[in-house]
Amino acid sequence: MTAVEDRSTEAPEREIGKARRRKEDARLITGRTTWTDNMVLPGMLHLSVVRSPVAHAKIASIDVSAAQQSPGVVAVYTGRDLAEEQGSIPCAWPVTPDMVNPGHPSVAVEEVNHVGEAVAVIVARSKVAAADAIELVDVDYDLLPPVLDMEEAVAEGAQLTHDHLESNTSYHFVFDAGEAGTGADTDQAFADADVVVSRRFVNQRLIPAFMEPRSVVVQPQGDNFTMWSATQIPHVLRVMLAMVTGVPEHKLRIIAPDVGGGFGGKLQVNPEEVIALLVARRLGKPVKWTETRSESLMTAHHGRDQIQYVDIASDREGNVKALRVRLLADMGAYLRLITPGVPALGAFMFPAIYKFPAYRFECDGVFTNKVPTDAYRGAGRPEATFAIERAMDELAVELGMDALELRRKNWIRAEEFPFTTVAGLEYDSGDYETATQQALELIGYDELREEQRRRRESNDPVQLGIGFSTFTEMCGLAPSRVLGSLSYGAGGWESASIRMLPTGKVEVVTGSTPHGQGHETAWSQLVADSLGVPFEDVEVLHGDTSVAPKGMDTYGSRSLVVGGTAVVKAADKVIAKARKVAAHLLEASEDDLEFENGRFSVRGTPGTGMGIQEIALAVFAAHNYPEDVEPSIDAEATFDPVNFSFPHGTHICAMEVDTETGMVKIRKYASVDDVGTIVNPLIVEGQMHGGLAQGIAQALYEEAVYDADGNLTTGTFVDYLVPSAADLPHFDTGNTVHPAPGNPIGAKGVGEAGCIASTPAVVNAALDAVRHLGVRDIRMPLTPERVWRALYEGGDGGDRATAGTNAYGGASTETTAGVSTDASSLGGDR
Amino acid sequence: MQLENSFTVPVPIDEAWRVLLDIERIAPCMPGAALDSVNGDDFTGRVKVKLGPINLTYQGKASFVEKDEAAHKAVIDGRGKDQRGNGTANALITAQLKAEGATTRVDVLTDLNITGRPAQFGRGVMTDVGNKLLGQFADKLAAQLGAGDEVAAAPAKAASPPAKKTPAKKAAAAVAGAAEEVAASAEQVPGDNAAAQKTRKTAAAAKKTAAAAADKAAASDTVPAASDTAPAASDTAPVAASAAPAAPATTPATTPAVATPATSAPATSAPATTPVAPPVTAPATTPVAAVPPPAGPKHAEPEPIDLLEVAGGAALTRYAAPLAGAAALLVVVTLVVRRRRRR
Amino acid sequence: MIPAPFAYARPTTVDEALQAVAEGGDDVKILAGGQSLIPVMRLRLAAPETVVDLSRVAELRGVRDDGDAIVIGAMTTHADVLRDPLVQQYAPLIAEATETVADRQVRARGTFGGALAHADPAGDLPAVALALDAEFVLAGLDGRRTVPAGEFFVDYLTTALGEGELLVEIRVPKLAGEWGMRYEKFNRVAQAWSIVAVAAVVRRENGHIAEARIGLTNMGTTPLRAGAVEAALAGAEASPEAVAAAARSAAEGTSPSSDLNAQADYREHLAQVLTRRAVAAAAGL
Repeated sequence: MTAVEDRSTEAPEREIGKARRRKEDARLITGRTTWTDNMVLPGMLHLSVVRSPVAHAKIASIDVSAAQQSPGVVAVYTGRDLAEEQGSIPCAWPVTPDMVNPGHPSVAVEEVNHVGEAVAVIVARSKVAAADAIELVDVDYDLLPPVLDMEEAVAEGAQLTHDHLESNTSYHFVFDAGEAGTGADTDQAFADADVVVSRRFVNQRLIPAFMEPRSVVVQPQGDNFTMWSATQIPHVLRVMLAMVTGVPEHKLRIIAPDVGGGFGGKLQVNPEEVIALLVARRLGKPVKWTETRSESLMTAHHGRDQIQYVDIASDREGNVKALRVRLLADMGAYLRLITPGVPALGAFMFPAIYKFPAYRFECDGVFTNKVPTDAYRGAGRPEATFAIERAMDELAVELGMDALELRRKNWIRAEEFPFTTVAGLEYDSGDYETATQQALELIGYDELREEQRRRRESNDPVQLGIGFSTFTEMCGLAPSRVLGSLSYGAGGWESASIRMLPTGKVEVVTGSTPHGQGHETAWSQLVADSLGVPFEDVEVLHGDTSVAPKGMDTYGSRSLVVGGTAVVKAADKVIAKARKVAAHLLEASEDDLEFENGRFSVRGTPGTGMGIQEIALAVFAAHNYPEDVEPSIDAEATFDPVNFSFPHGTHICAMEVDTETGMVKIRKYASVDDVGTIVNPLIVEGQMHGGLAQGIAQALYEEAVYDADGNLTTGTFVDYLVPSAADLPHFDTGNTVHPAPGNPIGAKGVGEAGCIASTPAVVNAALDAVRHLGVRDIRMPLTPERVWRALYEGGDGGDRATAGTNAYGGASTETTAGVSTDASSLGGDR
Repeated sequence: MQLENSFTVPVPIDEAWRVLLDIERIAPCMPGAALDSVNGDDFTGRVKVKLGPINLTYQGKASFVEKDEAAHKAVIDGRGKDQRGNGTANALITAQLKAEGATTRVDVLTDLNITGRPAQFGRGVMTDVGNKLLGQFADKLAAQLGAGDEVAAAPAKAASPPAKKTPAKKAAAAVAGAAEEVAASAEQVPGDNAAAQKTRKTAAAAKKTAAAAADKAAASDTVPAASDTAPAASDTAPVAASAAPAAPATTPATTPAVATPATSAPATSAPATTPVAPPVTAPATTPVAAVPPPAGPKHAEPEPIDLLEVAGGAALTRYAAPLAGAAALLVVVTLVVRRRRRR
Repeated sequence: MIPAPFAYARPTTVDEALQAVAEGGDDVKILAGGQSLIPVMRLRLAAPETVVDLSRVAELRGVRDDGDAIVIGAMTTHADVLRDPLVQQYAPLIAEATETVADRQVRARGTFGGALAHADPAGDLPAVALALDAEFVLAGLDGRRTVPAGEFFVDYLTTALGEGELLVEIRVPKLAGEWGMRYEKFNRVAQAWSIVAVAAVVRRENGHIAEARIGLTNMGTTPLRAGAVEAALAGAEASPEAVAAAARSAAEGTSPSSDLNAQADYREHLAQVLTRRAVAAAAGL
């Protein structure tokens, strides 16, 4: 209790706002912790998965006999062996009533629909034996033509991804502001507009590329099962696995121990999780599966992959009049947990911060023979932000206006909050002008413009461009009623409980399961302030459905906004309970008690009082407590927000483009974000940096490329380029703070901001550098070759390596070789 | 992935067509493979593919799926699977002949489908490799077809066998250290009797020695084929050649080793510099020398598939890719099948 | 990512190593730093019968002065090459290029000789060795032979190394006179392979370029010398214009591949730009 006594003599520093180093980092960074793959159980068997090397085929036959006889192999299961019990990977978001879901077996039974799909599972006594036996499984495939190109897939008479379906379209989702009553008639608005700009943008397929590969361990115990999994969503997984496999929910315990990143990539019910549970049930023995990096890139779900057709209308003065968006969204071969919902989540964000009077959104979910897409950092919102921020620049060019001026003319002004957009969302708070001003100062805008002018005039081979992204996003997923109205299969509430231990220490149980965000630190700060206890006295428990039985886990920048609020509300309940006990022990009226810095004191009686940690001991002893209460000050709270939160910000990128080589290099990057109240500036800064890295990576580096046969040619990190610190610029970050009115913390969410905002700023900057040279668009990622081709051949730089390689798009190369042939008729050798 | 090769041969279409279907003659044009079994029109075999540290063995089957005499079109379908489960390689090869006066244009369309790990890389090696390999195939096929029924066989026969046998024996002795490897490659060739096997070995060794010499040349880009009616224009190494000013001295000395019967001199001298360990890898141009048109004297000659195997091994070592393997498999397998049938 | 089973030998001398290779069976792979071989084995694209690990062969490590040349042991790690005073003094181009190889972790394990013997045309060191006219000392059971760089690189991932032979050391001639050097590398992220790179070594004399040697990375199946540029530069005025004019023929005689990062025509273009930049920098312009 010394800590409490010390604190009573000095006003403790508030924890909220303190740049505390993360208490979980030492174990996470050194790896000396409970990663799932570190789990070793007595008698544990190891799984390996035989995967399809082909994108689309009927399975003609599978011969597992050699694998079965391989040393150390216990069993080999094919899809047919598991067909009766494996069910389908669940899809929790049927965005339209008539959405087509082909069903997603965990192990393919009759046909394979993407490269990497599981076709057999090997169970062996060692990891090595399991790996060795993979090559002994002999599968014959009857090849079918793969469906790879979305625009071709939706055309009349297209090849089918699933031949038992009528088309490659899963659903057609429409939001029309006119019909919804939130805006004017879109067609009419376009008809009346002075200026219409239409563009087709490609938002390329990305791979989440989390650091810790997926891993799962299942231990059967009688008819109970405990599963450890590197997942973002142990609670959701438990419900879904119970539904899929028929293992009763109360017989299933899921533990997400420390999890090494996810970015949405572990927001999934993975086929291998189902497989591991089924195998453990069959054999009655613990099993482990851990993926290789190759498997991860090839079979864990991907993100993005949209073709966006955007029409934007305005009058001559630059007042926007209407926005129309049509999407082709690549589902991949199957629908996983929220595959169809990702573009629908973005549907409401295309109008962004601008006051469009009319808006219509249409999206086709399209099946192709690729790994399914699903959530990836931002999930729908980066795609929307990219489209609108690129389109605003295009409109500015068309109007001959300054890109920032056009934005300023149309964005929601600070005094207009709360503001209901044409998409029907109520934006909570913010000030776009102030954030923009700060960002301009941070980056040194005027100097950069001057330098740009000089470089243009001198025809410098290195040109400079400046690009903006004045963005907002929808965070704090999510109000359960709103999710219900969007047909999502679950709510968006979050749960927390606080246990006051006898020694005054505090256990905080959260349903928000972290996978690297720093929940333990931030929640400790929240509780330290709420309860007035030392930061060090707080332990945060999470990720185990037995320890934290209720929760909706971590995604969509929701943890602090929803989960943190639940913690604060639980703390409030603890204080309320403790107040009764304190009043009893201090022999004072509850109304006369003040609670400050962790102590109850009687108003007007200095020197009296009792710390909340002392009350915890008193309640534990329970020798003396009020008649009408239970001897406990523990409390639980569930928080369901009534609205989303809307972080916003202005990102400015200054980009150098070497016109001789096409190499682009970020010269400076400044961002000013409003993420509401900041609990830990260091964590916010870290989230911004990581988000910026990923957003910039989409603009410049990353792309999942399939070749004409459906092979993922970016199957290793040699080809799938994840940038490192060496490739990224210094970030000048800043914040404005407009607390979110929707939660007591005032937080808006920061996990996705950098990733959502940065991509269009980077592309806009590159285009600003070379637009005077005739370049109108460059396809992401902006590889040097694409930039060079856009400069010298026009267009958007095109597909990568289209000719002469298997790397993309069905190369047809003419090789000529021969005798008695004059070279000219052959066109030369290649 | 589609690969196209086109060339013109100086013989009338009917003659070219006959040669084209004579698999035994055209098969040596495509390097590297081994036959496992024959069952009617179906045959199975293996192709070893080597590329630096990468080592794949495709196992599969192939067959003629179309022989349209009227249209002068032949289609071969082949499918292979990597032995280590690294994926598949399928190929559909369509050869179409078109009369162009007294000459014939040959269009070879190879539709290749490579799956699994070898396809999961962005480096464009496979296409380059496929193109080059098919380019060599086309070169040699052109030489074969160009030789026609008559088979400019006279000069070829006069030049090749003696040129080969003599150095072959010397070289075989000289490169004792290579015996194991040669044996290994010969193992892959279905041998009908020990003598044939031995002959094959010897020729193979000779071939390797020549290859070693040729290596020294830093590869020359145009090497006349053994048959002088059909000079091959190999496109395999123009780069190295133009890059070779650093070591020009060796070029003139060794080029003949590859190209002409004079092979014996430099070939036997090669062991002097590399007495025990001849380079395992021969340049792609070398096989050209190893394509003595076998048509006329084929039964008397050293089995062409031997040379094929060794040359193929060399070429594959350098260019190997699964696609090449698949293509090679088809042709070679077909060749062997036909020979067996005749016996 | 577990390799297929293989036999393993870890000799401590070159002789033992040669013996181990000779006895290793049909498919022996030599393990130097393992930065290329191990990934390929883990992917099971290679499944050698025997792996002979040279990491304990002390005599293959280090750099020594040998009169008119410096001699770099094949097993000297990139990190050690970078720090070596002889390399910095007599072959700074090697240090400059080595510093661009992959990342710190790779440079700590990867070796100079391993990178050269792997002969990946996208690797940085082969073109540098070619530009510096390095010589490769190969050891076999019957003795040693020396192969000039121009003959060492035979084809894609293929060198003049015979079966059973080891690359033991690389002799880099000390350059006499006033030489300037530059390695101009072009890649998308720091740890990536070169899309194209140019190694330039230039000797200036009286305001002219007396001699230039230019190695090209990833412009064909082997590293290449830009012979036409070298010829055009010999005796040329040391001016940006003359260099630019000469650099225009940088792609002559090359046959670059097309892949995910670049199609052949773009590589040809890059070769010209990068050659101009590398030569200009090496010539002190």
